[in-house]
Amino acid sequence: MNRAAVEQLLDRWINDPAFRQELRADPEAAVRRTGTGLDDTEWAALRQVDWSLPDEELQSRVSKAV
Amino acid sequence: MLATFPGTDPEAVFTQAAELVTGLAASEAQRGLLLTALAGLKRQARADEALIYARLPLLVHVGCGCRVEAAMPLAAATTLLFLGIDILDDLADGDLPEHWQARRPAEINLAAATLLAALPQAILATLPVPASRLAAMQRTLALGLLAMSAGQQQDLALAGSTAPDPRMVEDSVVAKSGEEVAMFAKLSAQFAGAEPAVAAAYADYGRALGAGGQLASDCHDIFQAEVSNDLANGSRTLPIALHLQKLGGRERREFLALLDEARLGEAARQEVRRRLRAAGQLRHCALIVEIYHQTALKALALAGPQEPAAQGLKVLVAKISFFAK
Repeated sequence: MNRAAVEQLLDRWINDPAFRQELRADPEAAVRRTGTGLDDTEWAALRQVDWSLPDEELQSRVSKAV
Repeated sequence: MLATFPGTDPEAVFTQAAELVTGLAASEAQRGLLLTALAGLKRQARADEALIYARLPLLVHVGCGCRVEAAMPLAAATTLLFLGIDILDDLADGDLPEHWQARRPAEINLAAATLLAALPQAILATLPVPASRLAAMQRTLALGLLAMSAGQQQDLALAGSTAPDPRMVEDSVVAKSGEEVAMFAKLSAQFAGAEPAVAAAYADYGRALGAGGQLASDCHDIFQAEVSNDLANGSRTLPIALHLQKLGGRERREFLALLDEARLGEAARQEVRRRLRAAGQLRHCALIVEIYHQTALKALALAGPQEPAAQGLKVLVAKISFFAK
């Protein structure tokens, strides 16, 4: 798996408010515009992530169910 | 879904495990020691937990078109394996549950060794399969334990590190927790007589489930748990490794000092949690866990389990995801 690409995306998400907005509105288009190379599994994960979820809500979803 | 999934009642697996331990133990004292360990695991099992060690072998076996009852001894063996690994983890972390209070560490260590190195092998040897299949299963067990041992060694080397490489951290999680669940899934597929490619796909599913589940559990320890064992033990789990990687010079030294303080103080733990969240490490880990979730689903599609086990296996892996609730 291409962890460098994932790190780049997350860095941009943290540091670039405009990218954050784009990602919330249309994750696939936002990532394609960056030219980041993701494999099929990473694209599937990207589509599943709710980018509009606030940190507090995300934290409440951390589970030890497994 | 999991609680009511037909035939995957963990209670029945615990009962089977207790019967096998009772029958195989070489002395009354050994029987008492091993049943204490098993009763402790059963008490700790929460109703909402997936209990992968008990359910996964049953689901895979049914997914391969076999009867769930036939897989009960195997599920008991994987439960005992999990128990042995869990005891070793607790010993390494200095975090032994109450039921061990009356036992010495050497005796607890002996229980773990017996659970890992004797009982599962003895149980596998009783399964009604051809000798070649049994040999393949014993090999899967031995290679799985070897891989996990290497992963644990890697994990121990990372503790307290000032510059843990996030990829090494992830690799150690895959080697330890991923290989454990991969072994459970592959053993069950092999027992069912699955073709090697199908057994390998189930192993891939298990590996992603185990690794993603452990990464999610590591996030729970730092971000949600009342007591963070990982911060107390100086463990370098993924959120910490990702954060340290971004820091340089004075910032890094300050954060390392904060991690040292967090081994003892709650205020420092709260500050670690706040900084990691502000830096986006929770979201980063959530995305990585989601990649494991999707990897598992892809492997499952290749394995092609029959219904209703296929749905059960999807529900099982959805439990690791932050977004599939």
